[in-house]
Amino acid sequence: MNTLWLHRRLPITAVVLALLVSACGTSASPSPGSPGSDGTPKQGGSITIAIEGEPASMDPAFDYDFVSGIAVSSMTEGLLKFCENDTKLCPSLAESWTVSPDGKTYTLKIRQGVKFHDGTTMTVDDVVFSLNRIRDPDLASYVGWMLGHVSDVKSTDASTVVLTLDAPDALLEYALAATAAHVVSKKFVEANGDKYGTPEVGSIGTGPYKFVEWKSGDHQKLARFDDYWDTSAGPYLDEFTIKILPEPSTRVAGLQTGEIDWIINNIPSDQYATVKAISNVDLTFTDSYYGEWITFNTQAPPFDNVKARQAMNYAFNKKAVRELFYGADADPTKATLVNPTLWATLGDAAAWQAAWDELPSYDYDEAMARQLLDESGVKDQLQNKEIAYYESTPSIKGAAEAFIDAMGKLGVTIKARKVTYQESVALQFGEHNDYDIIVASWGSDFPDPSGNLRPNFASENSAAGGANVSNYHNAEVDRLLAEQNALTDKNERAKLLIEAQKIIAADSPIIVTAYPGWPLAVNKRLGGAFASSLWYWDSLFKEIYVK
Amino acid sequence: MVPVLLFVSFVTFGLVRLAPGDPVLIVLGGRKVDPATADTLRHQFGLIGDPFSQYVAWLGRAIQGDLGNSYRLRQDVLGLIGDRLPLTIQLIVLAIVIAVAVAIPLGVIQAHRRDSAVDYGGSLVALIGLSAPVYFSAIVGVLVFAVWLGWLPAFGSGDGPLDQLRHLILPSVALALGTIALTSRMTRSAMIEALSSDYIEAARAKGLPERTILVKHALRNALIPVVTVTSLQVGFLLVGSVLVETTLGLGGLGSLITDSIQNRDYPVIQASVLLLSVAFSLLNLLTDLLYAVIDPRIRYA
Repeated sequence: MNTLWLHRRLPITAVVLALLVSACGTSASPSPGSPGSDGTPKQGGSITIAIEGEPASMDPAFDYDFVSGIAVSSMTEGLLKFCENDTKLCPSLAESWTVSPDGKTYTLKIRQGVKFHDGTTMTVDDVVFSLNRIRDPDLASYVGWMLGHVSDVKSTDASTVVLTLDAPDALLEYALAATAAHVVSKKFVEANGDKYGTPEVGSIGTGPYKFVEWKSGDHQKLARFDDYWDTSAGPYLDEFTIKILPEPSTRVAGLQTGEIDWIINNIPSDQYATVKAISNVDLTFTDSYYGEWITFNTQAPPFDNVKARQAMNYAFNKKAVRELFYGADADPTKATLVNPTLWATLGDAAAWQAAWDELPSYDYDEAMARQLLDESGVKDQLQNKEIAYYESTPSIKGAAEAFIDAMGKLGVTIKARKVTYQESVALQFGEHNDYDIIVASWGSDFPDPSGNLRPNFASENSAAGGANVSNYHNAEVDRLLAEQNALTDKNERAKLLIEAQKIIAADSPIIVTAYPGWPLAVNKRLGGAFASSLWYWDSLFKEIYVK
Repeated sequence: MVPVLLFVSFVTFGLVRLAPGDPVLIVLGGRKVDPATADTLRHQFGLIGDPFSQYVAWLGRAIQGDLGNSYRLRQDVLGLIGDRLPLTIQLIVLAIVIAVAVAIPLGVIQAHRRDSAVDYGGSLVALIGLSAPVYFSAIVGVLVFAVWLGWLPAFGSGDGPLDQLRHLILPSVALALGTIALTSRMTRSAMIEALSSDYIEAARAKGLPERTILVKHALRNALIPVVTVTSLQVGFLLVGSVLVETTLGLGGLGSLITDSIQNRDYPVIQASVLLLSVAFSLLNLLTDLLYAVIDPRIRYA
């Protein structure tokens, strides 16, 4: 073949292709909504949303991730729910509830006349069945631990259920708003046995949408339940489809073509600009309880040296990394996982603010880092330690690479240990002794600051399965964290948590890079779309309508 | 075939367990874990005891047709694979059909008109098809045909046969590009060789029309190597389908395999690998039979 021909023809082809690819910024907008559309919701319409992986099940017992809950929380409901942007607990299937002064008895008044999707009426038997099912060790429910202190569940009359605890548990109230307390139909679950929650059979509940179909690996479809008990607002949509799209650029392409109307959370930060540029899509951010942070196995030398840890914190320019991925208005971080959104949920705001103001931020200070590193005397032992991180999230990858760079400036070589996301999960929740440095993320399940302190810093949680990724052991912190969980007074609890937080910050077991928010991309033809900080427990489609 | 399957299943069993990552922790997905729950799950998943006895237990059940339950999706593995398989088969068949329908005529024309514009154009297409990774072709296809032109849907498999066909065009073309490349090159060179042989000259001397010469005489003789290459390609198509399905949101066997490997879903991995081994063996058999059809000289006693 005449190779000269090839040399001439190939570059031209490459340029043409490049032009085609770069034109992806311009989007073909779908047909607009009705002209002069107003803000009043109306019934009808169907929408498509995208999630990043196949849900595990439609059974609330196994819904403890970011994809299963989209369908589950529209079909089944908890006894309570999070409201007012997750700062409070409101009634749901329980009309009201009281807690005994000793914190060991919860009495719930169950709403009457609520219908399941198959037309049967929900009774206290269903409630008792649902709670006991979650507590059953043979079921191995992923959220069973939430009811860990519950020793007995029974109904005392046709509208009352009583929970007895073996010890007071400050977090139990929140569990009643999570999937641990979703009420399922005893009849339906018993009739379907192992098949309950699978694509074949789906699930039924009391929620605003009911199961239509689940085509494995492809999509789930739900339709409006017209006999839904809460008629205050919605549900409006005729149906919605949950599409499973593992590839991020395909999800964004779906937004561009209009085939996808709604995405939450799973937009990588390097695609924010692309999504913002789509003319018929709004991209908003909700504050989260999440933190992204770098930590060490603090039981293994030299990471057990507090000056070395502080030095590494000062050496790393967290602000620069954060702004690179989350923009110039990214929230500043301090040496705690309890960000302002989270501490607003418990007790005296002034006390938390005062504590926050005093907390160190370990702002980038190379001179200080050098000094501390020299004082620590362990600089040589840090050479060639490895930082484990996964590359599929840009901000995680970026933080790791920036850390390696920052340590390089101090004369310390840190090696990259790249792992898959799943391996990273296994490291973070395993024995906690098989890594040197690791990049992690964590967010509280509940609107309570203890959710970002106890799981991560109590020494009992450094065993396999726990979230104490820092392998942090401090007797005083343990005492404070255990004590606050048995109290019922919110201000008392806040005091103890603030104290624990202070000790942890001084010890610098973690380097907090960012408090990312949840991105929510919504097509402009929809109204009423809203996501709160704990959206994965919420019924997200009750108030959405097509304009 | 049985020894092959035994060997493959044993090796797969060992390999997945060597990979880092505890399936129980991964199933629980990075959220808080209660030790009792983790323990129960470990028992349910059959992860107690040494790996060899785990393998023997798995084999015992597998022989009876019970391939276990998916760790993550909590469903019967055979049922799960059965749900996902049809789409992948459709995808691969469509890709083969497109590939053969484009590549063989292209190769024939290229051989017939050597060194012409068509020849060089076809070679360029082949170069691109071979060089571009499948997922890249898929993403570019989505950008051009879905986002920019709006002619085709960006993802998914659609409802109903006609809609499904429309949804499968982009993925199957993306998949087919590599095969088109290889098959057209193979056809071209095989045809060139066939066209330069004596019997073709004799046919021309006889005054047969060019088309008859090309198709009935030359192509038929050129097909043996082409069939070999193309049937080997089906294996690569299976690999490619893994990438295309994940990229374009198709719920087929490919995306199930990716998912299960990432999530250390051992039962699904075992069953899928077993299934693929059976498929490959059958494919080889089919290819051998096809030789007999094309070339009467090859007959089996």
